[in-house]
Amino acid sequence: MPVSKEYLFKRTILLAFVVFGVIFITFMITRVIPARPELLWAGPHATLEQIEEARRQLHLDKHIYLQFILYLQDLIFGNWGISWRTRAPILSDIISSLTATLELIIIAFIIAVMAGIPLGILAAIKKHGWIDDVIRVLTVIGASVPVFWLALIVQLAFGMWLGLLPSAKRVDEWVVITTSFKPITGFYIIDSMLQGNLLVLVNSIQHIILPAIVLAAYPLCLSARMTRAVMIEVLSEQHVRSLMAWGLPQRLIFFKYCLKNTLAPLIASLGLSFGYMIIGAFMVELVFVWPGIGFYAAMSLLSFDYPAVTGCVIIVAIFYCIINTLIDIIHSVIDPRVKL
Amino acid sequence: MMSEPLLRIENLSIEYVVQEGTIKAVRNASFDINEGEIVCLVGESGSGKSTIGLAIAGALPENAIIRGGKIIFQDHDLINQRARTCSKKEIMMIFQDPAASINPLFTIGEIMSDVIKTHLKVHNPNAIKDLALRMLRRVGLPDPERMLRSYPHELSGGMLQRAVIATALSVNPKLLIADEPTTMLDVTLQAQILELLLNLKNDFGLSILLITHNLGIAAEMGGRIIVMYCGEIVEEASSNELIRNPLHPYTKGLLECIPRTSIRYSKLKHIPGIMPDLRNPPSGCVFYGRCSEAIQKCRMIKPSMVQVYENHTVACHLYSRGMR
Repeated sequence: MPVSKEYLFKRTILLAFVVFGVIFITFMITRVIPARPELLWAGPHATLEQIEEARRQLHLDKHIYLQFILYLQDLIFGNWGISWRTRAPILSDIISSLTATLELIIIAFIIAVMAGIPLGILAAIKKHGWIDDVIRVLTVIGASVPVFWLALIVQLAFGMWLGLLPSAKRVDEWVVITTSFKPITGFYIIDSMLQGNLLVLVNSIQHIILPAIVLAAYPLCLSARMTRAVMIEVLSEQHVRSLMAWGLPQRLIFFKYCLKNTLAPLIASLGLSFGYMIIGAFMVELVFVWPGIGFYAAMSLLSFDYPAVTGCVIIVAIFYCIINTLIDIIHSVIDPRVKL
Repeated sequence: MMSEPLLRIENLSIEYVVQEGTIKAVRNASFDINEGEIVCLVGESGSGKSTIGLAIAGALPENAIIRGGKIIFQDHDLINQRARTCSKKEIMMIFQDPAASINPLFTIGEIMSDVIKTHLKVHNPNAIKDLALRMLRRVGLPDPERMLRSYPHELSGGMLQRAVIATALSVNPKLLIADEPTTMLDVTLQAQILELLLNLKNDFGLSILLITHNLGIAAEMGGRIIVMYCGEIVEEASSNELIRNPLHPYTKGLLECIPRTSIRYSKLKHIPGIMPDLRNPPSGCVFYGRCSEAIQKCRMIKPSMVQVYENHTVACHLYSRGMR
């Protein structure tokens, strides 16, 4: 492994700083917004005393910096607080919605990469031919269509008109109840395989297809276009010319040599687009009633559920840092000139 | 000539299609390379010498079009794709910048083994490794085991160029095209690499087409020298003959441009003027605009190659029949 201990140490320190900064900023922003979350906590028919009591319970009567310190104290002891909206512990809420999102975006990302990169290579090899033109037009359309619109259309076409696939939720309730399915990891596809529960497996795959395809559309088109651009540049480099002069078959030149050259610069933006999907998926989650973290964060924000919002932001920040580190590591594995 | 030459180029014309038009990079070039011979293609940058090399190796860029002519190698016309695949392993090429001509993400060993696998149809990894090690040792690289595991950025230019030569020769080609193989190297290394090429030529029974802008190098290598200017061959002779008795005004100019330490020149010489636009090459002699000995005829009528002495031909009106 070309990764040094110093690098990982530096990254960990950096992660701590980033997370602290993120906590501070989100905390402050949510608290200075002129809203009265204690009303929500106290309920619709609360008396003035009850509202006052709610203010005390939520520490809203204290100075904002004291509130921050109290919050940090709780965080350090693993207490992320209780959601003001669902009244459930935030950490368990976040974990269950995070796994739902991860399951969705991992599938979407695999679709995007497996389709986008080959399409990009094909377009680059057939540069300026009709195949290239078709791919370019389709990817421009795919990258510029609003995702919620695409989600609705797909729902309408495959869910309503054709009736092929379910268009809401992760799994049908009756399947869960009749087969007594219990989530373990939170990834339903993995859980159902672990429990040998074929019914839930098939049912959850059916549920994930439409939202995953919709979510994959943008990164797919992006990666196809970027692969095409990078590949065309790589193909014009001298080392490709020498492999041609040495008589290596084109198949080998394109798919072994040039592919690696193309992937190296591509990894960074693909990784970032994966990170973006964690929260960016919320439009799709909203339309497909997918109980993911984007959905959870949006709902929390709308109901002034500040601890939940802050919790979501922390998780996403940590995730981004981890993904960035992974990108660096993968890059250094692909490109021996990069030393970490 | 007693026997058929190894490679015969006949009236080869190559054009590059670019946005601003068509660059006629090589026009009506003809020459032979015999078995075991060194031929040096000399000319300024842009004279079309590298284009000829790439055309022979079958590695022209996409925007290049072979407009006409033949590249006959062992009775096959290489412009025909099918014949090309048969003789791929017989023609190998090395390039100017060794650092740029090897893929930076792969080890020397990986690239060598792919070349060997493709051409020799050897698939036993040990046999491939043995051959690669033998070749690396043969080109004078120390510690060939380590070399196989090295990435290009871990090696110096001279070592890389040796590794490239080893790769090219590992499949036992008949013809090696060396495109400015020493231009990017230190002067001290240049002589070493050239000497290595000469040695290998004798050991492997190679023919070498050496492409260079440096007449001095061409003279040192011996063999035949072909001088190109603006996509046309202007003079061809054995190296001794050409250096002692250059005929074409361009060749004379080139020879005068070689800096000499023995004579105290006050100034470096150069050939005045610039090369004509190759999108629209002149209808007369290509060197007309820069030639100090030009006559009226040169402007309109293109001179054809005439044999002035044995093994010395030149394309210049000054030597046409009846002039001298």
